[in-house]
Amino acid sequence: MKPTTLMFARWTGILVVLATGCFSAAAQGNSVEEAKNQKLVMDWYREVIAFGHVDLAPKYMADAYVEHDPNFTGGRKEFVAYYGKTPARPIQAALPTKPVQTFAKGDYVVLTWEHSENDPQTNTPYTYITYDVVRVKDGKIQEHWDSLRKSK
Amino acid sequence: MSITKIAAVAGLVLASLGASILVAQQQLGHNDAPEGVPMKTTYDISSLKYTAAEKKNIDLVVGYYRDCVQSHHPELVYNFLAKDEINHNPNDPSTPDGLMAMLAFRFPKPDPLHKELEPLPNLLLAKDNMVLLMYDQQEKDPADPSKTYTYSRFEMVRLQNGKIQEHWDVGDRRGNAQSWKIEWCSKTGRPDCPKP
Repeated sequence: MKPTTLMFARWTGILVVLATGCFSAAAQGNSVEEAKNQKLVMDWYREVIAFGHVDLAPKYMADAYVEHDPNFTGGRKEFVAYYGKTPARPIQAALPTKPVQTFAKGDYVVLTWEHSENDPQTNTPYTYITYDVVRVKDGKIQEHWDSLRKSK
Repeated sequence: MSITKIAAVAGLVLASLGASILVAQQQLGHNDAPEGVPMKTTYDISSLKYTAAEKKNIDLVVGYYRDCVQSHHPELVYNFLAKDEINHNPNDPSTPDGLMAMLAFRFPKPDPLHKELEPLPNLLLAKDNMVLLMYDQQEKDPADPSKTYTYSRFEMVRLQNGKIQEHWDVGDRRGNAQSWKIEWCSKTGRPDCPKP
């Protein structure tokens, strides 16, 4: 396969995956509260994480927020210190990369993301999934887990 | 102080203590797992309520992990997985047959069927046709191997027509911990192996 064909196939695949993700998110029967929670989490993710506006953290995150990512375990302060290392960019209306799957259940919202990288030994490209799970209560994000392991 | 006064003060103290306990209980909410859903109560799960269809999906997913993955009974796989199920883990074979062949290689002797999931997930979410299991997992801290730390491990599936149709877990290839799976599969010559 020529590199151009490979790139086309890969981008088509990514678009199909994204379209499927959008469809499945739209098709789900959310309660009013679950729909609100899902929107809050998506806005938080876009404004605070994707575009780096940690100044907006108190708008979305509870004072007693609990962070479970092992690389910056703690509370809102640790979260802001971690994401604050990257300067804020102008907030855009859409995420640069959309989640593959999104669903809300009770106080919880789940997001999954597809990543492509090269095998560290063979340099062959492969894809894998990462997860974010968020708990929302009283209109604020209370707790966050993801699938990241501790880096050195 | 007279006995009546002491009794009145003690009564007031007890009443305010009772009221505080009631308020605290209301604030905390009930944190039991929904009936019939095998999960720990590590986190606040008071908001989780499942429909009959979601409970049926949970039963099927729990059955798959309990019987096939944890009790090592690959012959039961099609009780739970669709024939054309897709496994998205980049280290594993992509089909149920391949996955079960790998399991049989790793665990050649099946256990008697376990009664329940062991360990229980720390969070079990089901919504429509999706089920997600989250486990608190401990491993050595790469910065200081004398210490351990906790991270979250996930399994997520999509169900269709009463069977598991797709499965995702994390499985990135950093750290190389799962390279034995890729090597094993290459040696079998199976067509469903991950690209090394």
